[in-house]
Amino acid sequence: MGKSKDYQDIVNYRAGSMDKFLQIPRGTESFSLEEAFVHRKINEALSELFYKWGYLPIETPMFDFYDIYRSMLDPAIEEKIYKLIDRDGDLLMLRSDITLFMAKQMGLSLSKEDLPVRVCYSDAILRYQSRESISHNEFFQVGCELIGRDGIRGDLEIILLLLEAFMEIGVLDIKLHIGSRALFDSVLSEVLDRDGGGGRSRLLGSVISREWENLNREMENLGVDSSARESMLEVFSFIGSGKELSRIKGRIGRAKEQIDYLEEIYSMLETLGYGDVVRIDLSEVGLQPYYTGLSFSVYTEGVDSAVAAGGRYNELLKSFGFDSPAVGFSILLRKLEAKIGKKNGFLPSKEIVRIDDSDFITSYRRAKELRKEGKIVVL
Amino acid sequence: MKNITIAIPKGRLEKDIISYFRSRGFDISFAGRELVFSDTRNGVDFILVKNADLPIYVANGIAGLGVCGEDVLLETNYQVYKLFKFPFGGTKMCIAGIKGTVLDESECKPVRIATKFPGFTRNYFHSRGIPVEIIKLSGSIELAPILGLTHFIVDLVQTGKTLKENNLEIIDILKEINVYLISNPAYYKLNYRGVDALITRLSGDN
Repeated sequence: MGKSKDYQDIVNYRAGSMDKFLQIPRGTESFSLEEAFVHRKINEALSELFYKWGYLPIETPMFDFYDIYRSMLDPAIEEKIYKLIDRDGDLLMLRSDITLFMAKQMGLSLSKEDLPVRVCYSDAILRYQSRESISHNEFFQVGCELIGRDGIRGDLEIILLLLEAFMEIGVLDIKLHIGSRALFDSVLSEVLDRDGGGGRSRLLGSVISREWENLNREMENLGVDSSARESMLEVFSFIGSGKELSRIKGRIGRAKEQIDYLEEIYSMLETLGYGDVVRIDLSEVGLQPYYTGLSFSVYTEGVDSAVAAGGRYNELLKSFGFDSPAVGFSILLRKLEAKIGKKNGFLPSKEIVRIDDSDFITSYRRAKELRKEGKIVVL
Repeated sequence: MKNITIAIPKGRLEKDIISYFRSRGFDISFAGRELVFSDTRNGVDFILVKNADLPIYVANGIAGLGVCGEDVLLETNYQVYKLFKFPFGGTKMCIAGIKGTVLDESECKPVRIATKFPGFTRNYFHSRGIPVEIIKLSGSIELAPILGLTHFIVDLVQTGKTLKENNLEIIDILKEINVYLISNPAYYKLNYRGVDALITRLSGDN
């Protein structure tokens, strides 16, 4: 291998802590040069798109007090959060989901007259990663939140912006799976009332991970009879087009309103030319506990899990003192970057002018002129 | 549509899986030391991988689907969908000890257990409020109580013959373990129609 003597010296010097020298802690990453260039360019392209839709940026803190968010975290998500203790002895959590931190910030600073407010963000997040998950790449979130607009116009705006974001960065082989937390809540409301709380996140987990045997057993434990269980399993396992929804429409009376709504969303998106990209998927009930309405995920060939997710959360801001509906999405950008690669023109230009005249002053002046013309010049 | 790749585990389940797929009209045979076989007529590529590595291939999308015992999934953190339960290969995860040994849950001391499944065992007992101390072994688990390493073992029990021969008995069944067709979430979501058709074919009668 072509490592220099200097490198070997460092290795020898570091012998006691080689593990730490050669690695970085799990849950974080470092990358540079071309890879970082691509990352920034994609980021810039997305920001430009969001600005055109009237979204303005928000910067959230890197960490915040853990106590404030504790009750809003799903156990599966909480496991992945890094926590630390500040100098006053308070427990802090590092940013692992920008929406939460954004909600507190917005909740504290907004007033009714500002609405609707459109915010976008792009920032690093930290989540614990097990040693095996080599392709998780949950390091960076880019997203948008539309605050103060309830109903179908708000939902459609966010979904269409998300779809346009993928078009913008040239990732065209995507499928957007749309489901609904509201449907989950209305179908299971009676069952959940009886249960008194604890079962909710277990049932949600079973639906999201499509563990139908578990779901069946849990509902049986909660006293749901077998024909109702069968209907629920049929409803939650549904994936298909808006038209195919009619197959399950009559199965659960309480779900009718939500299913009609999904049908309407689908037909609008179909009219706008996204019929092949969008699917109704009733197991998409949203992992985050704060969702209240629509919830959705984006999948693409060659990436092991959803590359973007979002939904409506009409109660979240209220927890921070400002009662307003909101809907948003976030894209886990690092999951996508390897895929975007060269084909979409985000790579640095190969056309570089090199000037190394013997006279440095002349070189510098020539370079300055050429850069004005838009060329990349190195001295 | 692209060929579906299905990972098959070497070892205990291999023969059953191959004959099950054959009985459903798939062409599958690994000659000699071959690890890849293409069933061109059905558009399926079968790959043969080590049992414990199978979820890695599926979770990372190298194989779209895999056939996997739940015991292997228990010790990984991979998120996979269990799409179809095969009607064979079922076994039980049990806690066992020397005949006549009683598991006294009221005792405050941690229960010492030898097992190949430390993650599952810890979660199982901790979720029931029972403290455990786990010793991870990689084979011949039955030896642990006989030689006095631990009082108890947690292991897969199929017929119970090995336990019996070593003067051990099942104290409790902790979990039924089945064999599933698995995929990573994105693969299933992107290809659900093709995969559902395959499942229908697998679940259909002969």
